[in-house]
Amino acid sequence: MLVAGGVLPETLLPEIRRWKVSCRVPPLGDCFRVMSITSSSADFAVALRDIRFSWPGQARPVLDIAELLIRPGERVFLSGPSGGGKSTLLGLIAGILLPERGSVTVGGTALHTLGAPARDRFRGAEIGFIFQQFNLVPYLSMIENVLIPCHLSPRRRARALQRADTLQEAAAHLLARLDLAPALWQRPVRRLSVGQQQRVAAARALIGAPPLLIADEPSSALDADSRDVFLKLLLGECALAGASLLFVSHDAALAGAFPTALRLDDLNAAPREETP
Amino acid sequence: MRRFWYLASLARKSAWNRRGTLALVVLCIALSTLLLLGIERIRGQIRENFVQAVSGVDLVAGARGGSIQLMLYAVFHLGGATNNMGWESAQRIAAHRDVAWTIPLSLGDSHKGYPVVATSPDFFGRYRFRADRRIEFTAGRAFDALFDVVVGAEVARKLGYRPGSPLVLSHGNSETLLAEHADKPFVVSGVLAPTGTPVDRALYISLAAMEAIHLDWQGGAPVPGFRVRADQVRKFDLTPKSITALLVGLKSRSRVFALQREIGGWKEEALMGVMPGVAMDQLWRMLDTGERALLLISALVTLTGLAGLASAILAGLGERRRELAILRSAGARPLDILFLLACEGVMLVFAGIVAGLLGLVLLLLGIGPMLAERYGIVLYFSWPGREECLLLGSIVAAGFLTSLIPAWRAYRISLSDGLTLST
Repeated sequence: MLVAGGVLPETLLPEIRRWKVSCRVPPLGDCFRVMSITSSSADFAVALRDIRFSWPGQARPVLDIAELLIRPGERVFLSGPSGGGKSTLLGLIAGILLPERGSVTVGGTALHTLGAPARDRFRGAEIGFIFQQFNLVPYLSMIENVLIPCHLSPRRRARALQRADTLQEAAAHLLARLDLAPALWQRPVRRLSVGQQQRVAAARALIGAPPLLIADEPSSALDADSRDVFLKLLLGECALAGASLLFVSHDAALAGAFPTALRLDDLNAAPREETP
Repeated sequence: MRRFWYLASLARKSAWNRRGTLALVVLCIALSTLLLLGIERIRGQIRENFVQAVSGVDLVAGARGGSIQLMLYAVFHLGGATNNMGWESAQRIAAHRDVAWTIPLSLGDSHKGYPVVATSPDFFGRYRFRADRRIEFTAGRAFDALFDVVVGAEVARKLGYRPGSPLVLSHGNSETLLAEHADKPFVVSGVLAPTGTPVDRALYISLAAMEAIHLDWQGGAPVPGFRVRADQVRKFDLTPKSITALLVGLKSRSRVFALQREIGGWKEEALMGVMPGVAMDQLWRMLDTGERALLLISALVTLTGLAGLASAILAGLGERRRELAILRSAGARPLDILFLLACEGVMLVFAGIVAGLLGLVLLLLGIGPMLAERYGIVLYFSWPGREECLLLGSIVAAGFLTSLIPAWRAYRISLSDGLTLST
């Protein structure tokens, strides 16, 4: 499984790229991942194969990914410079965007075969999101913000109610575990600190136990201390819920906290736009 | 279903969150609703006052001529004198087997620009306007003595008359004509309550009094060298020779066409019978154009209000892109976003309409009594009628269509933004 240095034939490049992915994971994951090349996409939390995506009117693709696999329960750190197609990749996994070619399978569901309403429904039920900043709807209370997915997805609602008697209780439980004291719950969300806001967003992503969490630069607006607290809480909650986590950041220094770390540049064969 | 209720509650909370900005929009819509409904109501009321300036009268008989001229002159005391009809003809109609009652009207003189109407004392008891309202006295009573005069509400208010006030009638309709019946002064015997009809602007004397003041007149001028003093008139026969028009009430309305034909066919005198309702409707249609223009203007004001609504929501969309992306990430479809925004617009329109209706009620309660007292325009509170419901419905419909503009914009935004939160 080792790739020696030196010049390789061009035809081998996709293969190598896939291996480079593998090289960054621990040996056990490595074996698993290589085996997975031949195994079904349905076994993975996220399976992207032969993806190519370009924005309308642009000849050059933004993304050209041979394969990206995330196992159920795996916590993956994905780094890449801004403008490197990270948001596009997340759009594909979330079912907002469709690839020109290739397959996007999330939790065993082939998103590229679904219509837009079905993809929206799938996203609401199966994926929790945390954005970089201003994650909260300003006119809703903290609890109401956490409960948004439960109102838009019956499955999220049903799963939340499996663990608590009421939705309020489910939200309160999560907020408490994310170190948000009940005294804060009535405060207008705009008056929370950024770190507190991001933890509310994490609670929203976690409620109703979606199998996959996607965090798009969730900690880049935080100072070092609250970033570490946030990461620890998020990773802990994901592990507890058994959810897969795709954590995207340009800050490679965070990679150490994750069992798996990937670089988008390594995955993506599309040439990067030269910024002068 | 639960999802739509949730989105509707989001729309409500979102609108409440921006209430400072949106209050102006709601105020705008409220004012246009107030204007539209107020104008419609006043228009309806004026129409009612006009068309029903005289009611309960089945036929107006007069010398043959234009029916509208006769109505204008006999009911509104406007326009030039038509030919008179003979008193014998009037008597003959009154004696007709189908006729229940008649009120003779004789016009021609005036007082300070207000028309003087000679009639029988029956007038005050029989005359009806606006469905079934009758004339009432605020002071005094009907004319009794020969030179008694009853004045309408506006005449009394403008000229300061009360029972006992003396006044002198002028010959003819023109204020500039100085020929006065100064030798036969009248005394006010009663003042009428406001009716909102031409009755307010008229003075009423008896037919005998009309005859008496013209004993020594001929062809619009005093006969030279011939004077009849006021205390002498009773020696003369004061039965009128002719009258202007005769208001006729029938025993059975179904006989109206037959009597109309009969009167029109009389050989003795060229007469006609006019059905007031038909003639009034014809008249109103001539005047209605102005009213419609008012309605059109208020409709345009409403459109302006709705344009304000669309622009206020559109302007707010920029800072709500994050909110929309958050909802999208939680599973909201672009159509949900469309619904959310349309919902918000319709809620604002509803709030505006309710505020406008409240304003209208307050206004009616506030200025209604004053209008009724001074102009006899009774703007009573009532639930919106069919026309008003149609107007309200069209405001809501227009509001909904207008809300679709920002909603469609938000739909496009949520499609193109996806989950990217532009900073």
